[in-house]
Amino acid sequence: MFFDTPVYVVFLALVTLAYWRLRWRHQNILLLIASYIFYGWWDVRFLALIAISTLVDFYCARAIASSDDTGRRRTLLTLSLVVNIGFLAVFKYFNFFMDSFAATLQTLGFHQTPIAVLRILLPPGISFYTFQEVAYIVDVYKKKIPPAESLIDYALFISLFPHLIAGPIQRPDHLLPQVQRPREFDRDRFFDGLMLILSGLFRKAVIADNCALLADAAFSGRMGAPNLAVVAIGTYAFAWQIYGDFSGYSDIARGSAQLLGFHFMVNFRQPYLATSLQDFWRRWHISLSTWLRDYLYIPLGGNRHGEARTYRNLMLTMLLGGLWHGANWTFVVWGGIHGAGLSVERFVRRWFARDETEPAPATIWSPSAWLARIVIFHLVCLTWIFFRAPSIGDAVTFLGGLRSFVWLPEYGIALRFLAMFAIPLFVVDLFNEFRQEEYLFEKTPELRRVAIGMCFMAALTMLAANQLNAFIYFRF
Amino acid sequence: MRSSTSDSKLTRGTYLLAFGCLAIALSVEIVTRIGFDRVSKIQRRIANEYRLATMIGADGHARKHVLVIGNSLLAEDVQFDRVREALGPGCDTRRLVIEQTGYLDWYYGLRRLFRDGARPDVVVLMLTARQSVATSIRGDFSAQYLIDRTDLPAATRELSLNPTATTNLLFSSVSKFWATRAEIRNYVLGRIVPDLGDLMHFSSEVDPRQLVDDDVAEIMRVRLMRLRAITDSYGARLVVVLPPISNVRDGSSGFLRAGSAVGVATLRPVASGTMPPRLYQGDGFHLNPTGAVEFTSRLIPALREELSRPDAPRAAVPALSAEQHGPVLPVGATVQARRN
Repeated sequence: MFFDTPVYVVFLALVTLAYWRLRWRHQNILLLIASYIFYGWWDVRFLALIAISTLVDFYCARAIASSDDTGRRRTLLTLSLVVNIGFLAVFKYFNFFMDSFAATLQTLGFHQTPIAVLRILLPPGISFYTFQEVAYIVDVYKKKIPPAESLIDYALFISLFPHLIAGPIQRPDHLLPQVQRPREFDRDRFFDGLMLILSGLFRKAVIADNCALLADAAFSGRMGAPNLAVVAIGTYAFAWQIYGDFSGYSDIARGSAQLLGFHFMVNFRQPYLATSLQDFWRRWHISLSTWLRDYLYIPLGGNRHGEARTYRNLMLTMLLGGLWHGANWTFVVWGGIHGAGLSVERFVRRWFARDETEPAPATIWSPSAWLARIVIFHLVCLTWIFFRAPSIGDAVTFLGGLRSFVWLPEYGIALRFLAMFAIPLFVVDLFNEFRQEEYLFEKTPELRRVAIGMCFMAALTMLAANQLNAFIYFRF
Repeated sequence: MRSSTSDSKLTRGTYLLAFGCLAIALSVEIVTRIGFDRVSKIQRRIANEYRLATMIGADGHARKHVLVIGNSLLAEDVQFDRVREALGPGCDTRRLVIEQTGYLDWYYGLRRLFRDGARPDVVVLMLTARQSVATSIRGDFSAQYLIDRTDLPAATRELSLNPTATTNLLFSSVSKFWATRAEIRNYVLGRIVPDLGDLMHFSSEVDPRQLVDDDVAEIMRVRLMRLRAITDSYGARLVVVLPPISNVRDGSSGFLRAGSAVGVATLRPVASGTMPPRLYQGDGFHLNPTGAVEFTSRLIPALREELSRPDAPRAAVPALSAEQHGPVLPVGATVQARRN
């Protein structure tokens, strides 16, 4: 079920109406059933997968918590991780690694090697709920949180439909307690939830889906052979598409959760206003970047074992973070460039500043900050080419277009079309950054926000691109 | 604890926002139903042609009633007024063009046209082989304009749609706004960026893959039989016209074989790849006005000859249900890339 379809609107309305008329325990049962219907809407077979991993984690966590035997605890942790990572490896990465293995053998001169290929579908959201399960079992193992007492509560924590498919990845210590205690109805947060949903739909259906038309045309060669103009149109279009798409999804997810009395963490904070790569990762897909920091970078040693280890840890974290996005070397390169960029940034900062103190946050109107924003935006755009291209070869070919320049009148139309959708989102970001708001005019009187919401709705009816475009992150 | 909420708990803004959004949605639906067919030239043309198509054959005259249906290739490649004039007063020739349509759109579209009252003697369908072997429809638009609501379950099964796409299609069959929102968007954007059409034309997709004649023949044997079963059941004759495209290996030879095998007259006035590139539009797919003159000149005698043929008794067509699938193209070739 996509968030931007009428069926989801009906589904959410029915669930919300029924939900607030039930007692807390019954609310959880209703939400669990609704979440499984939401997930099974794609393919009922996927339900078995999420149910199995939920059961394994629930019982492993309880067994870990009830045991003082370190060896037994570690065995149970390993079992849980093997099941979770194993599902991910089989369903998402098996063919990728087999193909890569076959390609390596061919390079070494072994031709016609029989390689197994699984004809399997990628279950939606597997990367997201696996990370959530891993976080839970690790936190229980480290005694940061107690295990869930109720299977229904734990299953709901994993499968709560607003975050199930593409996050934001919820931390156990944030969401699980919300599941385990009665939610209070807050009428202001309910209103904010509606506004977030409208804002998210606007970002997805109006901004992202229209930018997607240009990005798809440029990357598929339908605008002619890559040259500076095509590369610029395609890259800028994709940059705004993926931002509108994913931040829109996150807004709808957070808004839907708020209608049900839950609070989800903020996932995006104006990432294209970042003044450094480090700043970018504090603003982009925050739930993933903090997960990687807490469950990968810090366990690897973080910055506690000298400079060389710190750079290694940064690179490893970003490479694996890249691979998490998809079973393709393009994502590894994308992560690698970000890792290298973060390492260089750290090196330069330490070289010049000679200390570890954080630079003071840039003011929004400072010229140097704007220069930094432009540089970082373009560096991020460069990495998006690898994220978007179907293969590294395609990305390199596309980038090769930067050496030539051809101008056609259609490119001018494309740039105007892009500006029509990218500039409004950029302006919204400026407002949000300047006013420290989560959505446009969040802190203004309610009636003004109603007017804003109606404008979003009007734009949705007039300008939404009509394809059933799955959210980009659904495929991760 | 009971955490239910009473209405008084909601803020005034929540009510305003919810009712405001509902009002916008309802208004847009009403305006679309009343006004969009009048405001948009394309919509007006489709609505008008559809209305005339459903009335064909109802005049009771002894003339031959010819209904020509197809997509933008019919609109761009054929000078329809010349065709109508050439067929003369003995033929009541009408056209129904719906852009971006293919075989399945017209399979279900024909069923609906006949149900809505169309009684042509001859149905002329103009599609390329690629559009005919594709297993896709135009989408939401088809659910509103071409597919009868009673055929929707069969169509969704045939298209192997997931529940999300199925419910979307169902919604499109009910809501005219939802079905035509792409057209509304194009209309609005066309007002804001008047030359947007040039960009869309420029960046539209052409599938460069070659079709294998044997595959096309195998698929089209079943699909033509299904089409013929519809026309036969209403006493009409089916004629298919293959337009010339620039790709030589367009599967039209396989199509001709299938037509001949199942007794469906299949006309190929000009073989694909034989018209010079200067006769095509910038997209290399549709003919330009000069190309249309050339193609129409070749189409008219072929069509006239076919229509002058007496309605010979045709081989019986095995009954096929709407759900029956034809063979499927090899992997990769089923991906549709229609641009017309």
